[in-house]
Amino acid sequence: MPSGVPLPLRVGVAVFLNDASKVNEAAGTYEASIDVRLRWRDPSLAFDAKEFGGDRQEFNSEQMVTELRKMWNPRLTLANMVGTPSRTDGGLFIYANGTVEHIQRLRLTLDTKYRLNAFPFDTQALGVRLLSTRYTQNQIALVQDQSDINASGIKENLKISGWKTRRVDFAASANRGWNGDTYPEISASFFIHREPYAHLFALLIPFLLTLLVPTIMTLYVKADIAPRMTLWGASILALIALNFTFSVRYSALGGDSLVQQLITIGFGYQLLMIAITSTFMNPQVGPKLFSEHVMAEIVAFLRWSVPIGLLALIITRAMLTAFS
Amino acid sequence: MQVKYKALSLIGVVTIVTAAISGWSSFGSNKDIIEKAKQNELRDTATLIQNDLQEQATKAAARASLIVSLPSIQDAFRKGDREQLVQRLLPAFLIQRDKFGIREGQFHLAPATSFLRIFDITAGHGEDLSSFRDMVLATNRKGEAQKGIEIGRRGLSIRGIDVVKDEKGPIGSFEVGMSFSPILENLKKNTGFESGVFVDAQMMADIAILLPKPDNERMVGAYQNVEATNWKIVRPMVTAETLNDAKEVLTRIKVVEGVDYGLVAVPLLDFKGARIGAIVAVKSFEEFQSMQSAALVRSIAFAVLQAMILGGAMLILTNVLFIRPLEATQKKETKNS
Repeated sequence: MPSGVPLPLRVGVAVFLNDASKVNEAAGTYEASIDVRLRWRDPSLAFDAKEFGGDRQEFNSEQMVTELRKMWNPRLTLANMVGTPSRTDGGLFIYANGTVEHIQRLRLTLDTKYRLNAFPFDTQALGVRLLSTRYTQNQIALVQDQSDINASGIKENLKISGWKTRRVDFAASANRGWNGDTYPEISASFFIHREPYAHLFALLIPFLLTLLVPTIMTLYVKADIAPRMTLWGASILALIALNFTFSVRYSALGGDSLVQQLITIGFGYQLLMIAITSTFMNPQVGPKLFSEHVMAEIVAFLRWSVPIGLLALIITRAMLTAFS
Repeated sequence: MQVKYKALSLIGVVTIVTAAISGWSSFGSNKDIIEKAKQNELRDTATLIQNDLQEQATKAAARASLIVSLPSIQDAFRKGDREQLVQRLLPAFLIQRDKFGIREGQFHLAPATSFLRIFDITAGHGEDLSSFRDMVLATNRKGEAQKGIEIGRRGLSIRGIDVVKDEKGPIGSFEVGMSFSPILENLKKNTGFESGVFVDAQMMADIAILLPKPDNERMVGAYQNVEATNWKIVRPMVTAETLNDAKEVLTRIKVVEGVDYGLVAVPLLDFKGARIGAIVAVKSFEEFQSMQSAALVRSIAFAVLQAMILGGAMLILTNVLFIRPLEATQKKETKNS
């Protein structure tokens, strides 16, 4: 540890997202290009600015490696990095007062925990976890002052296909090591919001189509019960196939997702319509249940209430998911 | 036919009005609960800030009390030996500054004459502070420890002052000034509120002459921001009007780019109880906004369901019991005539 500094030594952390791609919910990973800046003070590195001719010594990527070997540095680990970075670049600045700035530009794959309950209206946090594995909480503190906050963020106009970038948040925490010591950790979360419309279109159009034709045949066309039931049978098979397709396409989604809720609504609707087809809309059963006038009124009621009820239920579920 | 349409219109109106009232009342009660939750969170935050201010002042007073009770300090102060005081206290105070947010340490002679500033050992020896340092005056006049907030030559601090005395009697006083950062950091850690301390810029310009001129970007109306956890978030939320209005604890909901933000401003009172600024804390209330939107969707959905079931049942009954028999009778009469 540097001498002449109070412990825990404050290490300022800034993380900047330059680019992100391949947001993979199924694998729980994403690819990113990030700048990580660590800043600390080591009085033994202070120098006379007048004598040096400037208040900052600069070391490029190659020189940085040599310099870092010679001096103390916090040796933080990117705890959620998958494999090794595909590109590493950076530099080192040492200021006259002994402040050290170690900047790394990394292109790498990171794992992150996606919460998909609100899909396709979800906001995801692309995490970058910086963990100290060598120095305990009593030796270093990972902090953020205003200059670190200013140096953190998301590149303006950054485009991530299917997503909109929002903001960055930091959270400091501690990890218990194998030896019982507590090690500091700081996590940067880059929030991105999914653009939902393409997903909604892809979900709702095939879903509504599987239900549309048999609904028309049941409620608005004079037909015998057999062709109606055949259509409902085909609709059930189509919905099973659609469920399978969605399961493959959105494999990371849980049982409480909007997709699963839609499928459940679909099956419920089919069950209800089969019951209606075989009772109120069945010329053999209907007259036995109610008189002709009552049946006519019930059928008239079903003709507008059933489609409206289905649409209202779908819209409600979608909006509740969006606001969850 | 006219009767049928009249009946249908009446059923429609009754159904829609009933469903709307039911939906509105359900949404209203949900909205009230959410609004109360927002206000509770803001009030709790204000209480936390006030308690932390007290706690920080107590910590400053405890440190001052510790220093004044050290015989070596009493001895050096009695002898007027600044070098000895610096030698004994500076190393410890540097650690206190870097680790615990101690901003100031100063010895005074009665009634309020600066004797030694620990962090600026050559500055202001013999300077009369009586025109702006009421805490120092009160400590030396009453011979009692004091704590509170006051602006000094090195800016705004939470201060604790105690009397330095030995067996011969009082020698002077010693004060410890603490930064607001631990309070702001604690608030952020516990509640997620970003916050900043704002103080009367004119008073700072007149009194805190050992500080450099403030950055224009940190000025809001007649107030100067002296500390903030995240200035990028705090700045757009704070206006001169908010700071002027913060005569008591102020809670507001501000809408920025369609997002609700909770804002709480706690007045900053100096030692005499005069308002010299405010601590402002802000947090996104997007979560409450989503809850409110979800409550609205639920209320509308239930109102629609209610309208459909109630309207459907009334339509069936009215048509079967009244309209159809009436139409049948009318048809029969027409046929007979």
